[in-house]
Amino acid sequence: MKTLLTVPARIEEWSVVRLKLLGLLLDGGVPREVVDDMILVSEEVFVNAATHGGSGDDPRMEIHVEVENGLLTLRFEDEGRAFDPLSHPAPDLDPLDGERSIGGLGVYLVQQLTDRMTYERVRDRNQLTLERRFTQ
Amino acid sequence: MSLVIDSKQTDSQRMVFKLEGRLDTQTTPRLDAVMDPVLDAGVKTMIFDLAGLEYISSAGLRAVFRAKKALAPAGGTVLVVNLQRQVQKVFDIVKAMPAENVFQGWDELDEYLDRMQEKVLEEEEPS
Repeated sequence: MKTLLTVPARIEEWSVVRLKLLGLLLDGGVPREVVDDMILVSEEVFVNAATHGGSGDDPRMEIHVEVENGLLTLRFEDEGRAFDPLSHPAPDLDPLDGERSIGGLGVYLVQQLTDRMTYERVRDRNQLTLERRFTQ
Repeated sequence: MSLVIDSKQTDSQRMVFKLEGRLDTQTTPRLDAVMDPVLDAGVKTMIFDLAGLEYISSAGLRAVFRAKKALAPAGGTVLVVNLQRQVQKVFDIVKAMPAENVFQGWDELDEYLDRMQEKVLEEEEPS
């Protein structure tokens, strides 16, 4: 299964984007628990892109979805300013420290819930590719 | 309705937030709005009953952390009860809460609250 979703990169669109992704992944035969993980991952990436600003009045994001032989690949592309989530520092995860930093949490969750994460800046576009293996 | 917030103040020191639905980037601002006056009022214990919460993202986690941070200076605590599968998983990944502040159900939580209450009374009792 290979599909392209083009969506407005604005926070208030997330619930619509989520439902589209949910339908695609379930139809693609991805197990429910993996779908739930990847919806979370997608929210974190989507929100980052929407917050770090797309270009123009109508910022767009492309989400390339591919499911093949127990491998789910999501590639997020946008025209916002360069943002490499992999360059983010890991959050401080000491649960007893009330003063802990709460930045970088989203990226940390993405890293923990995917098997592979790659970032490229291609022709003024951010391309973030996430892979997650699953047993069918 | 993607997030239902039911807040109940059990006494001047304790506030219970019962959340149902999804705590994500779009719904968390609503929790922040109801939580802020409570944090300012200086409650001691804030309890999140998450029996009906099916999903949390980093946006929701930040709200929980904010509560923890706001209560900590006055010795207050955030307690969570009835975590569902996805929420439990996310809490585990980011080590959101120390284990002693997470409860399987209200029986366990009530026992804990009773013990805390006794401790407070003992401390107040003149010897």
